[in-house]
Amino acid sequence: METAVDGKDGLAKMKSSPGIKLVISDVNMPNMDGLTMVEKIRGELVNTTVNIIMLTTESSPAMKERGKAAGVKGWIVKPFKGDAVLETFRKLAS
Amino acid sequence: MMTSDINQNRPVSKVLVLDDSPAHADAIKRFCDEHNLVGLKVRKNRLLSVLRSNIDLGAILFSESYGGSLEESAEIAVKISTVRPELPIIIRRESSPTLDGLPEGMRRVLCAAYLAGDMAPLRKVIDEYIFSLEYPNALVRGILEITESILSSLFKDVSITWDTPCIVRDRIIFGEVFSLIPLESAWCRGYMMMQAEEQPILELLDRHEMCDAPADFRDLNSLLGEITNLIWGSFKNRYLGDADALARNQVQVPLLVNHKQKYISFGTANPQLCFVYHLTNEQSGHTVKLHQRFIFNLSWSPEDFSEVRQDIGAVVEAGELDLF
Repeated sequence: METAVDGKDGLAKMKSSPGIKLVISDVNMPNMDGLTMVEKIRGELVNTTVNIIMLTTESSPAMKERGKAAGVKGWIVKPFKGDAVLETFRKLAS
Repeated sequence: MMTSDINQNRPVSKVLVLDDSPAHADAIKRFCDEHNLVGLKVRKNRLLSVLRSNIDLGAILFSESYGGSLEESAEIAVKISTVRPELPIIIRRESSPTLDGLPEGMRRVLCAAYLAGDMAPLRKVIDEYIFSLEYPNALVRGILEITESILSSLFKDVSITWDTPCIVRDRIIFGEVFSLIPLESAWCRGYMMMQAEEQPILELLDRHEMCDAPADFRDLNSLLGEITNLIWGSFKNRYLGDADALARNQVQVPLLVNHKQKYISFGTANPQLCFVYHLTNEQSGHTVKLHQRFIFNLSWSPEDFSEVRQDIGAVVEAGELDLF
């Protein structure tokens, strides 16, 4: 498992670790926000296969639509709950 | 503490009553009750130590004869102002509702005078200095709901209670650590602070085994940051207004922090809306206090207050994974 402190760091980790299968990211981060990072992963890195789930306090439909358009696969509004969600993460990562 | 018949649907403000006159005690108490003030009394020999503590206050009600002689009262008033310069001090006088005839040093630290038979000047000061900002009841209730929900989700086996929200003029920081986050909407702009004492939170983290190793200050920073982020997110989702109006407003002011004096200023004399939460472990009885303050220093338009009501179907239920 790799961790990143913000979107810029996350993008750098994606560049250096092409084998990553699942990204779980917040939206509100310094330096580069989560959705901009997703747009760059799909665009600049041309990585259309990694599963990306947003784990965020944002719940607005407009934000979700932007995520969907950027190539986000799922959305969880904090606080996080449920073992079922963890099981889904495992499946997406395998 | 003197409390009764206070309107529980409005924030209160604590005022320190430094008035030993039995003849006027009932009138002052009645005034406090009618104006959502919680009157606090303190023994004279503990006055300065209490003022140096973390007690949140909105004002001080002082009497001309509190110190015995006028000179002694003047000395006390000046000392109070030195320790708590943000607090308005209103003096009850025996014969004149003005500051005329008082020693110069005392006049500089007082903001108004009143007679026991005419509380109008006192009411004017309370309205001007304490209740100068109107906080919609829905906002105050909403903040409590959001914060209680977040704290309950993070800490199991802990009961969450809170003090009646109060209006505070002090700028004193509670505890050793606080978080600060901007609040931005079309109708209000300012900051939220979460303040805490370090040791009780570290003990709470250890008791709940929330860290792999004994908790240290970085874990506390992380926890307080997450609490702040969750509350901010819910606040933003519920109370965010017109995005275009918000985008046009780029004004900012510097914030000033004096670590030595445990003092923070937001560049405004506006009072702050303060909440205090008590997290109590039901088995051990250990309690952790969290202070939450709202400072709307950049803009405040309660007449434009609105809540976002979204269709149930359009909003992801918090905590569940929504797959696209």
